[in-house]
This record gives sequence, C-alpha cells and structure tokens, in this order.
Amino acid sequence: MNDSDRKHALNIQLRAAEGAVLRALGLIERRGFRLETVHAAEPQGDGQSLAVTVIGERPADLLRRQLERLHDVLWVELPGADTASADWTARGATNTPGTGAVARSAARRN
Amino acid sequence: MSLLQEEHEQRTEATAAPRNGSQLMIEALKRNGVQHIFGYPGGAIMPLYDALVDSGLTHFLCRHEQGASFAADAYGRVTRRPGVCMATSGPGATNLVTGIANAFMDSVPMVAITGQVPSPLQGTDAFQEVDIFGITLPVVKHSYIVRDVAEIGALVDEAFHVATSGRPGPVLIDFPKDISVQMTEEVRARPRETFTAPEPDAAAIRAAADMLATARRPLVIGGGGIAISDSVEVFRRFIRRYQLPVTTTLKAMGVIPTDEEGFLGMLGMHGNEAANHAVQNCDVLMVVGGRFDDRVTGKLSHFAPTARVIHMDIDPAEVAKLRRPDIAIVGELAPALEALERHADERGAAPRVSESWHRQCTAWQKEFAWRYDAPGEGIYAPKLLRDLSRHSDEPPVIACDVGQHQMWVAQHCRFTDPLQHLTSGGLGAMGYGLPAAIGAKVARPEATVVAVSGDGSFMMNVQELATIKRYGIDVRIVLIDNSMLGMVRQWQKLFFGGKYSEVDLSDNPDFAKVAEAFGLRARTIERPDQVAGGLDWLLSPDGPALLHVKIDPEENVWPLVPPGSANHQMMGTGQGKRSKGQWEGLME
Repeated sequence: MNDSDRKHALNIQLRAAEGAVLRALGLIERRGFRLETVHAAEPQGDGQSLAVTVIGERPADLLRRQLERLHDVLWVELPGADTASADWTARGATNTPGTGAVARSAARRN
Repeated sequence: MSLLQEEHEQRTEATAAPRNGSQLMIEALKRNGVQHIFGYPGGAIMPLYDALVDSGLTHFLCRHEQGASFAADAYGRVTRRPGVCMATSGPGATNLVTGIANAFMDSVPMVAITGQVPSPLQGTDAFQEVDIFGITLPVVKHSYIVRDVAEIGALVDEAFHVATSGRPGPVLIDFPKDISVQMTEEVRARPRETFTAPEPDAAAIRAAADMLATARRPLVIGGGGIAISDSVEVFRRFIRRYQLPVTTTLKAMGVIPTDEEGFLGMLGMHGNEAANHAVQNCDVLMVVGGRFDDRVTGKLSHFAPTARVIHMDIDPAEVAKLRRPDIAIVGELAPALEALERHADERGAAPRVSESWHRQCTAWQKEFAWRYDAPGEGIYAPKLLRDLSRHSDEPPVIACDVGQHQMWVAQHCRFTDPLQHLTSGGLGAMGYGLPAAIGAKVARPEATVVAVSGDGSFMMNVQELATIKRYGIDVRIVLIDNSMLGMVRQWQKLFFGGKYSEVDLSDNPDFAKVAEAFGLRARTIERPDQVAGGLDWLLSPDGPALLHVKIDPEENVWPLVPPGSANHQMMGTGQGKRSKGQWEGLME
C-alpha cells in the first residue's frame, strides 16, 4: 500500500440479476482500485447488497458515480465519506452528491 | 431530482398463436423500429436466421463479423438509433467484440445479438462456446443472457431503451439456441425502469452564467456529446450569439461548420495550434459534452493552466474524472445551454469576450492557418482531402480509418455537420472505415459517402468490398497509400531514434486490381496533376469505386504534441513542411 493509497468502504445495492456482482467487482478493479474485502448478502427479492472495502488513490466519489452508471447498480453508499470530495459543485450548486455522514447520490446512471 | 420511474408490471398475456423465441426476437426488433441488420450466420444462431426469412427486415451479410459490428456502429451514429449486428456463438461472437468496444468508447447506440450454445451445454466447453457475456462485460453499457422465452419482447425493449438513453452505448443480447427454438404462447413483462435525464441544476446554471459574464478570455470546447444528443442547433446559436471562440474534439468536428469565422479547428495532439494556444491561455473554459481524453489534453496537469472550468455532460461519472471542474452541469446539453442563455438574458449578463482576446484568437487563426504549398513532387494528401470535401456544395459523409489519413481528414476536410464525420475516436480501431461507410450509406442512401482509408487500415477489412458489390452499396473509397504503417513509422522516427520496426508495407498488393477483382471501378494516381481528374472520376455517378492514391512514404502529420508534453509544446509548428526538418533533427 502506497502512502497515497486510501481505504474506502462501499455499500452497493444491486439488482439481483445475472452478472451483476461480476460487473460491479470488475469495474472496481478496472477503474484502479484493489478489492480488499467482499461480502455479498443473500438476495432479498429483486435486490442484493454487496459490501466491499477497496484500496486506491483515486477519489472514491468518482468510483461511486462510475458504479452507479451500471444498469444493475441501484445505488452506492460511501459510509463516512468526506463530502468535500464533491467540491466541483461549489458556488451554490445543489446537485452535490454528498449529504453528510453517508454520501448517497441522487443522480442515477445513464 | 428523481431520475427513475419504476413500474412493476408482472402480467402474463395469452398471445394469438404460439411462436418460438426467434420469432419473438424478430418481432421485438421490428417493434423497436429496426429495418436493417448487419451480420453473419452460423450454428447457434441458425434459428434466428430462419425467422429472418420473410420477416421484412433487410439483412446485410458482411464478410467478417467485425465488418458487421463496425457497419452497425456507423449506422447507429448516423441514425442515433441502435445499429443492430448479429453473429453466431464462439468465433462469431468474439469477432464482434472490437466493434462493440468501438461503440462503447464513442458512446454509440448499438444492439449486438449473439447466438449461444444450448443452455444445458453452457459451461461444458461445447463446440463454439465462449462466454461472450463475460468477455464483453468491460465494453458494454449493459448485457443480457436470454433465460426465459416469454420475456424476450420485454428484454429487447429494455435493451433498446438502455442503448439509446442518457449516454448511449452498446447492449449485448446473448441468445441460447434452446431458447431461440422454444415455443411459447406467453408474453411476460419485466420490471420496467425508464431513464429520465436530470434537469440542469439551477444553481450551477447561475454560477456558470456568472462565470462566463465575468470572463475576459473565454473558450468553448465542443465535444462528441453535442451530436449524440442532437444539440447542434442550440450549440451553434449559443456560440454565435455571444461570438465565443470555439474549438472541438475529433468527434465533434462539424458541430460548428469548419469554415466558420471564430472556429479555431480541432484541439489536442494533432490539433490546430490556434486551438491549443487558445486553450492554454483562456481564463474560462466551457467543455460541452466532452470527456478530457488524453489525446485532447496532452499533459493533464498543464492543460488549460489559467482556466476555470465549466463541464457540461449527461454522464455524472465523467465529472472530475480527469480535470476537476469549477462548475459541473449534469444533464442534457440543449436544455442546459438554453437555460444559460435565459439566465444571461434575465440578468443582462451575457458571456463576455474581451476585444484583446478576440484579436488574439484571430491572430492565432491567421498565423496557424493550414498551408498547402508543400514541397515535393508527389501528391500532398492533406490538399487532396481538402479538395475531396469541397468537391460539391454539400460535403460528403466521410468514414475514416485510423492513422495518419484520419488526422489529415480531421485537420483539412470541410464539415458542416458532425454526422458527416465518422471516425473511430476513443478506440482508434484500424479497419473501421470501409464497413463504417457501408453502415452510413445504408442509413443515408441519399448522401454521398466516402471511405477514406490507408493501406494498413484498408487490409484489415478489405473483405467488405464484397459486401459493397453484393448489395450495390454506393460507397466511394479514397485509399491513401504510403506503403507504410505511417503513423507508427512517424513515431518510430521521432521517438525511437528512427529505428523502424515492422512498418514497411512496400509489398502491398496492387489495390486497384484488388478492387477490380471484387467488381469495383478502380484507378491509381500518383502525381499532383492527376488529383482533380481523379476526384471527378471517383465522385461521378457511376457507382462504387476506389481511388488509389500513392503518396510519399516519409510524409508526417503535423503539428504534433509529443506524448507527455503540454499542448502548447507542439512539434512541427507553423504547419506543413516548413519546420519539420528542424524537429526531426532534434529528435534523432
């Protein structure tokens, strides 16, 4: 682990669909993060939740938005995230993803 | 900002008569407006090809699945509806992958259908089995394996919605053979989710309008998203109304007519120096539907060093991926631009361009205008391409391959509409040009469509000449032949000490004879005095033809931002051959 690397926890809510877990985990590695722990919960109805910890130097908030672009990802939480990472919405913009201790996006995938 | 509306309808309907999965697939494609399909049959997809007969859909048999996927990509770009390609399992499916990746990188709507071995055989290393779902995970917007015959209609509807909504992209449907022959009377819906674009955020619009109103040296970069979202007219109005200096990315060439005053040309690695100087010196940079690609920015930490950045894009995941903007406006581009205009009107605070900045941009434009007085005996390809695009009042649709000629097309051709320029931007896939021209011509039969290729690229999908001949697709081909992998040779010359490695193509076949063997008209030219006549001949109303243009093997693309350099550190400054010797000397 380099000095610049940071550990992040993410809660990922998935649609319980074929390939959904692979899609999310594959994206995390492709986008420059190492997976440290993975816990997939038993599917509940149409959904399944995935708790991961990742290590990387890129912003976790960017990873969150990249995950949320996946069709099978319903939302992503960054427990304890520093909302300052979203300072590009400064100057009064209200589409700030972070809303406190739990940064959860209102914006959705394309 | 609720962007999703979820409806859960689980209904089962009895249909008029039992049909098999393939018939349901064809029906669903037609319901989604599909008229044309590019593909290649094989074992696992035979039931779908069976249902295709007498379906009313027109299928184009390309001669390699990669050709089919590139044709579908171009069809999708031109129509803004998913281009459809299909192939069998195994090698058919893997041959589609490059085209799917191409569509993914350039945000092109596409639906790719692959046959798959029967469900009980999956995972047994069956004949022609590959996990195409797994192989394509990184390069699709979404993908499906059909598991339930009754859901096919709903699944296809969803695939088309996903491919076209928001930021478009390719969707793969893997279709196991047992499902494709299974009979059913049922039609089952799937939980339906509809994407709705976010409204442009009011506070971000206000902040952006204020930033533009207080700018002195503003600059706009038009990106590929403008054409994708059909925002060209609104973008032009915005630029013209405030007389904003504007440059574009490779994919956005034509969002402002390239002849228009104030258009600085393409920016980036092979951009016009006027554009690169403007970016490096502006104080407010508004990027509309672009994604700060490394070929655009050069050394990222040195890109637009004095600028505050406004980034407009439909995709929240592009914001602050590479350059952190000061203001991000996430949503559809046209409503956002209109909101900016409205806000400026209401507050009497229009975007400002200082007199001195306007003068400076004009001076750069003049200083770095392209020159065509190249020395040498041979044909100067940039001039030929310039003449090609000015042959008629309406510029042709140019489907480009990848390499030096691709950059010359972007630099020197005239475009009045971004859909006139089809190019493999993100993936940079050699072999794109010829099948892309086929897809474009099928989509727009009334347009003049020219494939511009190089001798390296052309051989990667040369088999598509047979597709052109078979269907009489009126594609014209300009083949720029330097008997080299020219762009690689140029980089070996500049950055590897002139040690050439596997770039010599001097034993190329006689391309005119090749084209004639496929039944096309063909002509070879090699002197400047043959260019005008050659273009007249090529563009005459006599059907598909290939103009084989031999040029100097040592010709380079100038100017050039060397890898790892900032955009103002361009080699070959002043364009053309004036100073290239100086740089080449330095690099050796």
